[in-house]
Amino acid sequence: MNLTLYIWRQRDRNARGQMVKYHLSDVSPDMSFLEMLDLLNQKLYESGEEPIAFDHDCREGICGMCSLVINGQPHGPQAATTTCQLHMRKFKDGDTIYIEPFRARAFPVIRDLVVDRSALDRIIQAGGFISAPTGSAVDANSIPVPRDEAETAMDAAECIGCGACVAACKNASAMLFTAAKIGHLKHLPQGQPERRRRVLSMVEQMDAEGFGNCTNYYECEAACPKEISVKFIAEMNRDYLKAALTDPNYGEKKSSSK
Amino acid sequence: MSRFVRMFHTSIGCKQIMAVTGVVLVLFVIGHLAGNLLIYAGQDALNQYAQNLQSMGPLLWLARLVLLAAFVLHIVAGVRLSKLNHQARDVRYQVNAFSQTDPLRKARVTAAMYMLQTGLVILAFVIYHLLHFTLGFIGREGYQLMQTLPDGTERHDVYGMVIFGFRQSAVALSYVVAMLFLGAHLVHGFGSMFQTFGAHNPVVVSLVKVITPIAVAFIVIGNCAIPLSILLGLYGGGGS
Repeated sequence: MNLTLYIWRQRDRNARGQMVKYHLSDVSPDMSFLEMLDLLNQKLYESGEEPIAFDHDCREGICGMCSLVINGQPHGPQAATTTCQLHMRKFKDGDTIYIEPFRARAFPVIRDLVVDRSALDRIIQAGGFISAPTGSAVDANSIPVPRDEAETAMDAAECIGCGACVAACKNASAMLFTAAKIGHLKHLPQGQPERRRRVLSMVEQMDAEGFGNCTNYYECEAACPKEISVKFIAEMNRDYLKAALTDPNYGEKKSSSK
Repeated sequence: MSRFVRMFHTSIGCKQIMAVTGVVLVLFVIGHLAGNLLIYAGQDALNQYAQNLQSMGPLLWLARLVLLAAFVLHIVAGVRLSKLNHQARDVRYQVNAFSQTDPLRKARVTAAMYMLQTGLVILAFVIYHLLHFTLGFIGREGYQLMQTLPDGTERHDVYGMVIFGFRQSAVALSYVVAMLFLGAHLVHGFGSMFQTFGAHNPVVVSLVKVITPIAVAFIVIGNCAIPLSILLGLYGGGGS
């Protein structure tokens, strides 16, 4: 396959970036998208040019490190697939492919296609956990969990935190991510004690990071490689409303964020 | 009160303020239309309805106050959220594409992208409409029409005013256009209210899918029917 690639090149966080055109030949349709970039980098390296920086790790579709907006779609055109699991057979010989980093004010570009997604980590730090005493492990099955609740919790827990929802959202909103992190705990008994505080502080952290707001386009759900449902956003909305109206301290003063 | 201030300053809380004020406004639009459709019951029916509304005194003012508050909050929250959303993506994509394939959802996304614009057109229309039919600063001739009752007393001839107004094609067409914008606004807004309050079980989702087009069609067709039928001479023919 012969391809024409337009790839975002940016020296560092503060530099001005631009799309740079590359021609790449001898691409095998069996290559993954990242292997295609590896091939390009090899050629750049051989010709003495700076290789293109991009994020990747497991290349098995489970770590959430790979990103890229390919022809306007996070993780490319194939549904429920991470960039690393996308193969070049999805493209045609002679195609032009535009490759851009995930775009959001909360995801500053570090270099080329690599963005800083630690804002998502800080949202988790604000409440996406349970507080439990460590020590000897609790007996398995000592806390009964209804099967459908366990399944729903697992559906939310599938989120790999890649940030494709943010990249796809017209408002760069992180609500699908935040809702998934809140959702997988709220469906389990262990998540109940901190449920109210969790939603309030995670939502405020999400806002403080500069993400936009959900306007119910549901592009996030369509782009999500793990097909997390927007029903979790609805659940988060409901939980937030309940918590904001009933939490005795809400409205007193800002606690965690800002 | 400070609880609501804090809610207003968060993303979800602000959206919920938009949604709750949106409910108030949609209910008003439906009630307003139901009342206006009395025009088809004749001059007496519509004028009597208007007179009844006017005689409600403090209750009417209370309703107006609630409406005004909802309207203002809806706009303030909407502008705030739009601004934040715009800021949230500081560098735009070179290529934009929808990931969704469902044509209905695509249509809704398109409507959703222009919520602020359609909303501002509706705001301009509401101001014009109030100056026109409620305060009578525009189209004074029609506003001054009075109906003399058999017992000799006079009351506002709302029926005559509406017929007079909508005989002018520019006026009638501006109302029709405004209602199309309202329809576009509601196509997205109506379903969004449910999501924002967290109602997303399969029953609600399928109900919303059915109710949204019906409610929007009722509002748009109902509201457009009045100016169009009068403009085309299908109703109120001989004048009053």
